[in-house]
Amino acid sequence: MQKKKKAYKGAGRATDFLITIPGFLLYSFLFMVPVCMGFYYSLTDWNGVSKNYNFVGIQNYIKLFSDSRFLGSLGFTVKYTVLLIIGVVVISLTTALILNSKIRCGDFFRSMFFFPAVLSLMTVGLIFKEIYYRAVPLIGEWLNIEVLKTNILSNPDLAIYGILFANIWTASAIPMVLFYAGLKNVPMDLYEAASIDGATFWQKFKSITVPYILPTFSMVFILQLKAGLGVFDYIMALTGGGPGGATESIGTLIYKGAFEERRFGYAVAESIVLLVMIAAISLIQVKMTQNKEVNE
Amino acid sequence: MKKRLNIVLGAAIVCMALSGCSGQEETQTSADVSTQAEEESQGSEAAASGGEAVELEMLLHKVEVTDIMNTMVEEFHKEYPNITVKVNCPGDTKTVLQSRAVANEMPDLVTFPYDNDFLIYATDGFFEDLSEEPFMKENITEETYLDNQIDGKNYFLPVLSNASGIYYNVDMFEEYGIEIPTTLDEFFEVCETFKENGIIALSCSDQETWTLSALADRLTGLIFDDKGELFQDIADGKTSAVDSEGMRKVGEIFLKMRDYAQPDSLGVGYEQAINEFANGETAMMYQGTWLLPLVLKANPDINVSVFPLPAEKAEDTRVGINMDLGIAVSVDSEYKEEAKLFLEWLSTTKNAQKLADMEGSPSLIKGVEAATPQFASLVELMDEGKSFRISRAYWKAGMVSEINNVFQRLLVNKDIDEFLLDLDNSVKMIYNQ
Amino acid sequence: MKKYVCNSVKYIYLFLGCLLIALPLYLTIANAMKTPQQLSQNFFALPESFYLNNFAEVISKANFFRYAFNSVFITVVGVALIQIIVPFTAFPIARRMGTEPYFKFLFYFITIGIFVPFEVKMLPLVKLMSSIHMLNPIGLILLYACGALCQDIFLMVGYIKTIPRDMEEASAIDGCNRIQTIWKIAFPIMKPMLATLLIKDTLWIWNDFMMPLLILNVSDKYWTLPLFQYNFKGTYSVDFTLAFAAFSLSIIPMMLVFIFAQKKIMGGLTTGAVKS
Repeated sequence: MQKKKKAYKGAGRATDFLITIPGFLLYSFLFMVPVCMGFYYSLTDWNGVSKNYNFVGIQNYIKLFSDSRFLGSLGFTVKYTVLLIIGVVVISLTTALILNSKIRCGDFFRSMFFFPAVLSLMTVGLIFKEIYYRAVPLIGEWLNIEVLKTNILSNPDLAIYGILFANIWTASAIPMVLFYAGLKNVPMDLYEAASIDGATFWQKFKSITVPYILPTFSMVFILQLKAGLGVFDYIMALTGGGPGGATESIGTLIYKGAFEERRFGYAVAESIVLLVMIAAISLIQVKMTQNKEVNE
Repeated sequence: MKKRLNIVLGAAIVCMALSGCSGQEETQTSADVSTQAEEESQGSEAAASGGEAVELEMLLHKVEVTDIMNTMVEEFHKEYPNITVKVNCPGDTKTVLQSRAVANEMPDLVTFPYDNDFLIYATDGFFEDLSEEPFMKENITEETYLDNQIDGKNYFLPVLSNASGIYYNVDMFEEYGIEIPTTLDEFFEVCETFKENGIIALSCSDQETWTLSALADRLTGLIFDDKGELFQDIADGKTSAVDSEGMRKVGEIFLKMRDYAQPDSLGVGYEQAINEFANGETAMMYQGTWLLPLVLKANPDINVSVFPLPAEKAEDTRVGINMDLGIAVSVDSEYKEEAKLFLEWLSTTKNAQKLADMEGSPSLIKGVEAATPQFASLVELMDEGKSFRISRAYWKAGMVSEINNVFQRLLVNKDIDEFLLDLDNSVKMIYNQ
Repeated sequence: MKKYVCNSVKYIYLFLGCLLIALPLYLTIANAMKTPQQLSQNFFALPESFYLNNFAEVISKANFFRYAFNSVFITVVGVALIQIIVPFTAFPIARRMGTEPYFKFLFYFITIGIFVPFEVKMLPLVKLMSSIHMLNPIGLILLYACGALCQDIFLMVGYIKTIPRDMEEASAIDGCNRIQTIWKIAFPIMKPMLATLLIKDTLWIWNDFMMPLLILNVSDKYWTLPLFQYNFKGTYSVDFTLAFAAFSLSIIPMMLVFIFAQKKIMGGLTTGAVKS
């Protein structure tokens, strides 16, 4: 048996190598080449339009670390990301768990909970703006909660939650599907055995479900980490960075730098720093969960 | 499994087939437009006029004038059958133009407003110098000609302008027996009258950041004739915003207007503000000429007109204007002569009048009459020369979005001194980076 | 009793969730059936009548069907391409990255792409595509295929790793060659994740605005539906009622894709067969 297993490991190596080539080439050429070109621009003073530009070395990066605007928006972005990840993970996991249990009208609920994902961002922006402007203040009056009586997007302290709510509302659908697919992998007989042993729901969740969905959790975590640290479109759709710059994220800063202030090279340098940050956090996360996962 | 293979193969084949044919299309459009256009217009009068058949691409930045521009282009084609102008309006022109510049495939004709985002293409050498063209010298007034120069050269034909003023609900003004104000004090008296009667005088859309700078750049122009010197001096350390009397006044007016606006104006979006004005919930709204069709769409029955935002003294009242539509010719275009021919045709009084009649905005071409009755009082001032270019075009790129934030913070904190300090810091940050 | 409480909590959660989702859904459809004036008067009210003119106007706009066809074509071919490349690339990586450096390198090389902000490669992409004369739908499809690769490989590799190798090993022992093994054993195993990716990628390509704007702006004959919808937005205005009608129309195919694909996710794994 041992010998045969070894034979298997070697078998098809050439095939495995060959079938990865098309993906590798396509990706290298159409993805990595532009990224490298982009990286090169971060070492220049290119304004994003002109035919001429100068090579300035790492000057953009040096400037970056003393840029008060960049550092200021970093705080907002980190807060936003933490809340986004918590919100999306809690909601999508809870929903997936419930949808995975025995319920009536499962198909209906699954489609319903998936629905937010199909709305385009422009629609989401329009609708939530109206809701915050007209519907939420009514609820505020009704429950007599002072802060809800005015549009929360106009309140520098609360605008972040307004954006977060809309973001979590749309962004939870896909992770829900991912968790749902992950839960389908948990062998039912493990649950049955645990039930016979008299395990509680929480015990079963902790020792059976969690190890199986940890890989899914890692995926969701990393994807939301990226979405959160790079957040830009939801802010543009709801507050445009306002009121008074209270919801300025690194993403909006990069956008403004590249396309309004015409400092393309500098904006790309900001993106590269963002890239390194996300990659570093992800790597730590992966290393931390790796040994807890169920791996054959 | 077989089924899957079939689908996959099918898709692959379709993909290849299409890449083949679209590849052909590609070469046809980019390399040899003339042949294609020739084929198309074969049998028409193309031969009669003698010219080679040419297709020009015009990148249009205003979605709302697409149909109007198409009509104009057809008229032109009737007179010059060998030239076809294809209007291309993909939305978000700023991004599209940038991508075309990067790809080195600039459209033959480019339209744009007088705005730093687009003027940069002129300074970066993407547009043809039109200074010496006869139609530039003859068909627009000398004042407009000089006004639209960049580094002493004219890179575009200015066609339409916008102008800003106070939109007001005529019926509400009549109901309370209110006269059109001619000074700033009178204007605030009008606001006060409405307030006493329990009516919100002004529709403000302070959540929509661009509407803040759109008021700010007109106020700075009206109050202290801002041509960008103030910010430059602040950046150079020659002065401080705190010492600027003009800027202090602008901040005060800005804030005072909010006394008569919706109580939660920072939470009001642009569409919401328009709807409130159109439905008679508010009496006035400060905006540009582009607002009229939107108000009429929200409520076709509203009796609306416009008066200029008055200055402190009646004789100082001037109207803030900005070119809304200018057309440039790309320096790399293969058909520069044909493109210029189109500009020459469009800048004749007859054709410019046709365009202005359909579009409704004040025209920048010599001899064109005002088309929209609501704008009469604005156009009157413009004809008297009592107008000024809004100041944003003089500011450094990036200042507009920064000033949105500064003014929003003013509305949150309601403190003029803090605002001036804030502005001072922001200017230094943007100008010195 | 406990079970009863547990069940009630579940249904209350589901019910509240549905309510929260139904309101925006209602607003989208209700406002698609109003005139601009009705919309400006009350955004939340029910439409006064079953007013379908907005839909009719959207559909009757010049070239609507051309844009719809372009959207369908780009989405279908793009997603098909992704669904071929991803399993063939992900499976060897997942099975060999632990032991062989090439596959490990490939995994990190591709997944690093997840972290690249779009701005970095936005303009270079246009430059590159223009230099190889690919500013057309085919170029866009290729870009989608490789843009999806980083997230999809990451998700797929993570998924495959959770599945025991026993069946592949058994089939190898039974004398199947590698291709046969992947075809007969690995594909069915990957199905739930493939279906998930199908949903994710279809949605992304269908709704994407930026890439078509950059790549297909040369002529409106290439336009996709998002570009068409964006044109309801003027320089200073949005044509709300028409925009909502256009959005409502473009939602329908996506819901159909989801309903089709979610069956695959559910029925996907042959739980009994992989007992170790």
